[in-house]
Amino acid sequence: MKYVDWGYAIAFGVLFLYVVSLFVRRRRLERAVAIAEQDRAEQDRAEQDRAEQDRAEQDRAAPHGRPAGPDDQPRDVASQVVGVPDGADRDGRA
Amino acid sequence: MTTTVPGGAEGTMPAPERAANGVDPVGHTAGGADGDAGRERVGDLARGAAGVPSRPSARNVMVVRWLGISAAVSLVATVWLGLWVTPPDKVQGDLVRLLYIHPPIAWVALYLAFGLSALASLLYLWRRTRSLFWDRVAAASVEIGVVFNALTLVTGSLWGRPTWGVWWTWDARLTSTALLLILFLGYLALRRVPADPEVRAKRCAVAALVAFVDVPIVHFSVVWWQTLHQGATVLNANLSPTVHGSMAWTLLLGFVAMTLLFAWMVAVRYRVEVLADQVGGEELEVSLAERRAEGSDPAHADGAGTDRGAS
Repeated sequence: MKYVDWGYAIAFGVLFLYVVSLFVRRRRLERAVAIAEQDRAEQDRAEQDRAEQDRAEQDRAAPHGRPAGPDDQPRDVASQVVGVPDGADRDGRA
Repeated sequence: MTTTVPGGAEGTMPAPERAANGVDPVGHTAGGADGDAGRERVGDLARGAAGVPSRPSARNVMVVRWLGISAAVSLVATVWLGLWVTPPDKVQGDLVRLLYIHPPIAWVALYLAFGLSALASLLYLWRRTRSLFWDRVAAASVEIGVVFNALTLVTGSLWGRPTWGVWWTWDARLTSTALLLILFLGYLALRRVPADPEVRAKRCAVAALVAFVDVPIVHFSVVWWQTLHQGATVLNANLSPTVHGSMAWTLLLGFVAMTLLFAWMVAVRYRVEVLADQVGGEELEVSLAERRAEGSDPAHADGAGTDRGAS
């Protein structure tokens, strides 16, 4: 019976160890995936915060409440294209 | 990176929908491999490496659980019948009990595991069915096949020592089976070589098909050559099994038990493969994001930031 016992013990022992290794690997990888997802969520949140900060800085840098100067006045773009001075109509009449 | 990719949620999208969105089940975009499209493709491989839902459905979990339970029950029954119920053989005595597990283990290794890996590899290589799903199935199957192949050699050797008087002989069946183990160990080594998932899958599929050529050689070795190993007991030329009664039923139960165990193991191992790809994909994506962040940082902007607009 010695060889038979060894045969069964080795076969089922190895299979048992392999199954345990599968479960351990699966558990570790599931944890790694969960951590990666968490990192990604944090990264997304940080990017969102940064974007909001950038937008706030741009708003602050924009000329709010300043009296309108000559550069801020709307210009007649079409008249500029055809070389008509400001204040004249499309036909060049002042 | 994520904004430029069509069908950004392909990780949870069924394969046909992903294909309709220009991303096939493998995670490839319809675009070329250069410039922006190339960059998109890398992103897809990173994210599409999962290519399947990140969590299996409740139904699949239930099926796998029942497979596991039925495999365990049938294995216990095989051991009980094999060791305590069946009578000793007239010629071999108690050594015949080893044969209730040795042929079923060999059946799983040679025909189920390596057969499935060859089939999956073929389906991966065929353009119409190409998907990383098949690559993962092949990988899962080969690893299990290697374990069973090694056990085939060990249990065979334990039976051969008292029967033939030697642990090992350079018999055609034994040698071709050992060669099979070495070939598929090579396959597993090849999978560890760092490469693009698609390139790795293609290489491994070819390797699996090349290695599988040895399976028919193992099967017919006892017919083609004069061997010490006995011929087929069940699947012989006349298809008349030379084993009867409780011995035959125990052997049959052994085949069923090992087949169920293999099916359960493939399901579990496949899940491990999916998770490993996901982790690999996440790591790739993180490193790409870091690279991009470096590129967008003015301190690192010289030269590195020139292709920023593409992503």
